[in-house]
Amino acid sequence: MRKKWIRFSFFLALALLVTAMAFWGYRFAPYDPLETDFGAKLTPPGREHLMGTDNVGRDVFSRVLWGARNSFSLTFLMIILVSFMGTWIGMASGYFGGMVDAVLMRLTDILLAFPDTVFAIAVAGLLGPGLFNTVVALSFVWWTKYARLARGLANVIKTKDYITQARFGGAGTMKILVFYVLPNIIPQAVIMATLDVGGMMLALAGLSFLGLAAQPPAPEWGAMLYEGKSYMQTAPWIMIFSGLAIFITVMVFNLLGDSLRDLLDPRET
Amino acid sequence: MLKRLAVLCGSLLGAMALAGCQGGRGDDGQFQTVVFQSSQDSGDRHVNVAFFWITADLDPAVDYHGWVTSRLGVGEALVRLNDDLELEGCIADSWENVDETTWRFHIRDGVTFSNGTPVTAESCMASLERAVSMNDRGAEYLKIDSMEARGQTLTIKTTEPNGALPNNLAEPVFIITDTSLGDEAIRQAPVCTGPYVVESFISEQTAELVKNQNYWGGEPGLDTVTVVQIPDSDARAMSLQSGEIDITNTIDNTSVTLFTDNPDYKVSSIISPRVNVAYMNHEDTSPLCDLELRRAVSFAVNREAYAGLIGGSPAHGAYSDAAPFGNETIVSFTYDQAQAERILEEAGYVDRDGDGFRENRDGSPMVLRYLQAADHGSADSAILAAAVQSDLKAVGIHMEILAVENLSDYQSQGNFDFYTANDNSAPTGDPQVWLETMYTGMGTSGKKNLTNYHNDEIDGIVEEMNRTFDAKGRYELASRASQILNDDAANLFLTNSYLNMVSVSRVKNAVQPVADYYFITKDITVE
Amino acid sequence: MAVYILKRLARLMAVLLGVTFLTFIITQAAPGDGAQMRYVSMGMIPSEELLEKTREEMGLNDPVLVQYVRWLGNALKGDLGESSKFGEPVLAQLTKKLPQTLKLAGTAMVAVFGVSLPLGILTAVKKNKCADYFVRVFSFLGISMPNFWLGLLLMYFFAVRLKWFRVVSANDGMGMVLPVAALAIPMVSGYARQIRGALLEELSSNYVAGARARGIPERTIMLCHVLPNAMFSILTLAGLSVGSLLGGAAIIETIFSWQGIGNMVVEAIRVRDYPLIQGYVVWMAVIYVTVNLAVDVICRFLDPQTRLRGKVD
Repeated sequence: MRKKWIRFSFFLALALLVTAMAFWGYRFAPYDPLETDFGAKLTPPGREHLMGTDNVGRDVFSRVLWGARNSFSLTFLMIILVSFMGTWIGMASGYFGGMVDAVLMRLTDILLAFPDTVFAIAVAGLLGPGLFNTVVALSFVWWTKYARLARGLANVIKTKDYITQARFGGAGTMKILVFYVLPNIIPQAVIMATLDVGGMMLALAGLSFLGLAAQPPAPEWGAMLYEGKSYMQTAPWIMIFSGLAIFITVMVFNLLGDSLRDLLDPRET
Repeated sequence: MLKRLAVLCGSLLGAMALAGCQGGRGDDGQFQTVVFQSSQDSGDRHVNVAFFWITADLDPAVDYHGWVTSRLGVGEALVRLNDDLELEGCIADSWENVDETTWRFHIRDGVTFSNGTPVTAESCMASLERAVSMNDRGAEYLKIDSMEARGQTLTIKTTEPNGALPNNLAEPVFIITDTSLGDEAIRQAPVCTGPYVVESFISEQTAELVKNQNYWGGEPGLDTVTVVQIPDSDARAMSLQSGEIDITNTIDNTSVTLFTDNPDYKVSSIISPRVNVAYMNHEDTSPLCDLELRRAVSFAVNREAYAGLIGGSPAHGAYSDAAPFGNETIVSFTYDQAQAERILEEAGYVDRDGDGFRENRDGSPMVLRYLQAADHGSADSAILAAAVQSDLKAVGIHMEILAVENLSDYQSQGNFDFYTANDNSAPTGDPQVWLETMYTGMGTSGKKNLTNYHNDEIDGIVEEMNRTFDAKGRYELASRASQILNDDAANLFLTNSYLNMVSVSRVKNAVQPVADYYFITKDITVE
Repeated sequence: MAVYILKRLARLMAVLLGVTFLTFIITQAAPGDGAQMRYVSMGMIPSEELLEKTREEMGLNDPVLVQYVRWLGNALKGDLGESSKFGEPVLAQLTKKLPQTLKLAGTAMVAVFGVSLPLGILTAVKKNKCADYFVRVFSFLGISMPNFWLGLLLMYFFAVRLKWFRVVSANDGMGMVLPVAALAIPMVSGYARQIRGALLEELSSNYVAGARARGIPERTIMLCHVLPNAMFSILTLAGLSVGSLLGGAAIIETIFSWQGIGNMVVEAIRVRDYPLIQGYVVWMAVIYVTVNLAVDVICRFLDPQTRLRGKVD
């Protein structure tokens, strides 16, 4: 158990570091991420430019930092929103059952019928490419996962003795939901949300790579990777550093999610 | 339990078999596997070529499909352009201007279609009529009133004087095809007069060519050619490195460095008639309708630096330096940041709220929308956009880039301030088409004048061009027009593009032609 | 069983109705309507009166619901409209490109489970041993790696440097290796972990303890009891993986110039070919739900427990 705690704390610290970098890291960017310097184009990493420069002489390091702000902070806020909403809707639906529940489940059936990337591609295609559109599209599908999870758990929890006792004890519905049902759902939802951060980062990066999410010249990791693709052989640092940024961020959150699951969900491992 | 497992396995196998069938069905017809021949082991002289674009069909009369038919070395027109963009005979060996509206072409003796049928004035007339009836551009380019074929002499009468006619006939829409074959055959495998013949064709994927045994211009240098479409510039470069293909063109400037100074490859690059232009919206909905602002912007961009970024040379005007239209005589904008700022100050574009960006004269915020579209899978337009943005920022102009994949819906709504394009400024080696299409509202050609540029003088020059039948006179008119467009700061002429062709070393004579609707020639051969 | 299948089919119909409606609504929200698109594709700038007249002709002024029913009616007849990019019916485009994607995704799926199943078993059996840790590290690397990054790296090393494969994938066995690898590797990593989890859960159940007590060899327990029982969750995983494969295919197909439906839709988005995008989404959703329905039915058919338990929901 202690080992698990240590592991969890370690990854939590890493994740907090990544998050802090995403929200405030851009302040330490040595250059303006949009500032071009034609004379210094495609400079290899060195003292002047830690991660080199790109095809118009923009500082890759500054762009990676700003990219974190663009792609990560939006993802992060969206996941929090989606998991919160999904959990509440699912919990209410599972707890009350009946008509609301039936309607909700059919709705999730429909939304879950769209593979998430496919849906985001469609939304970007129909409503126009953009980071915001694709994030909304992904969230639109993803809340259902939380709703389903919360509903399933609420269904089980509501039959538990302590709920009945609480009700006899005069607790109102709201109080039961918040104090007795929700605490039993939160761990699972948090695990899911942590793992989803990585998932959404990857999905967004992929969509940016296709030119459907972030639009150039905005610094965004997926879009930078796409730009770097043309320089894979002549200036590999553009692709390497933007790719590494995605890779590391996603990995940190996956590891955190995993260690959290180890800690909270004794069934596995 | 075991029984169930057996059922499960059975159904899985079934599913796989089904998937197998699916794949099998896909294999016939549309998605043939392209088997790349390696010429080393067969005695044949074969090369694999990658184009950035293969059309849905090869009918020269449809849209711009003729460009591909021409690049394939399959189709030829009556005349063609040499590398100085001057007119040369091809199927026609001579022509003359009889009077203001009459032209007479002599069809070269001994030219046959690849199926052996002799090419006569009659067959040329049928082919031109087909092009004119099927293609708006065809009709506009020629303005034909009537044609007459007698033996090897083709007489063309135009509805109005059309000095551009001989040059315009070089446009691949006027490729001479054997029209007796019918539309379906022409779409799949047109029978023309070029050094190569289409053996098989898959829409937007591949074309297999064999040499034309009856080619009038001599023995073609190759026996067979496989042409594949690879839209992405990087993928084209990498395919060359991996040995999948032997020749390709339009490789991005940065990737070209992988092949120059490398004995395994040969690079041929030229300044093309293509110009990278940031078109400016002259409608009064755009701040750019103001000449002073356009002039300031024109001084603010560093064309030299852009040419260094994406390759090519700084543009001097509406026409590329590759065209013989007297670019060396005109006065054009140079990079002068101070001058740009001075113009802005004097015209009243000042930064009132101190945000680092100048406002409109009425004090409202000014954000210029720059539409950037990918061109031929190249990164150049994105680089230019970023570069222009930062240069404008340096003089306090706020510009916003919108990367759009399809310009036309923004353009048709006039919803832009700039839009970029890499346009061919002399598609037929003649100055008129370009000027008329982009800078006048004349006739139907005006439909591409999306910036709503208008200047009576330019309209007058176009009129005069119609009646000017000698090349030199036309070039002089072009030079005059070019100067007017510069004085008007009509658009941002950024760079003249390089075009390059890269081939592996065993390929000989793979040279990038200046007119970019040529590619595979009879001279290309292998050791 | 028949009743169950019928019920599920009815639910499938309802879902499909919802899917088509939602897709239709999003299309409605797209900038520029059909009338405008028609003229833009012809390179014309129509006047407002002409637009209005065309809208009337095309029925674009009818209530959305009426338009939807008309569209659905046509769709059921196989008429999904005309692709402006390819100038042919959407259905023709889809049927032409879909087999290519299915081939790629199908092979990737076989690869994913062909590799992740043995890995899952290995790591479940050798839980917390060296092999388990090794696979675990590998799987974290795998799931955290963007598949397009992987695809580009694979292309660079194996096609450009080593020249073992082609950059532009030919439609044959060799040509499929790189795209399949790029698609499968990130998924293998995830699934190996999940299969391990499913197997461990089975291993911790009472009947395994019972079997062990009776002295049945571990190998027999795994092969004859644990694996068949865990098969249901693995099958469900396989069903769900179809979604990731279809989505991932769009990116991988673009990188490897694979002429599938994913490449097609990216192209369609470039030119705003709405009918084609619409057709693509509807088809992807249909394939996805149908596969998952089939998986559910198979699981239920095979599993005595769900049959007894009644409603799966």
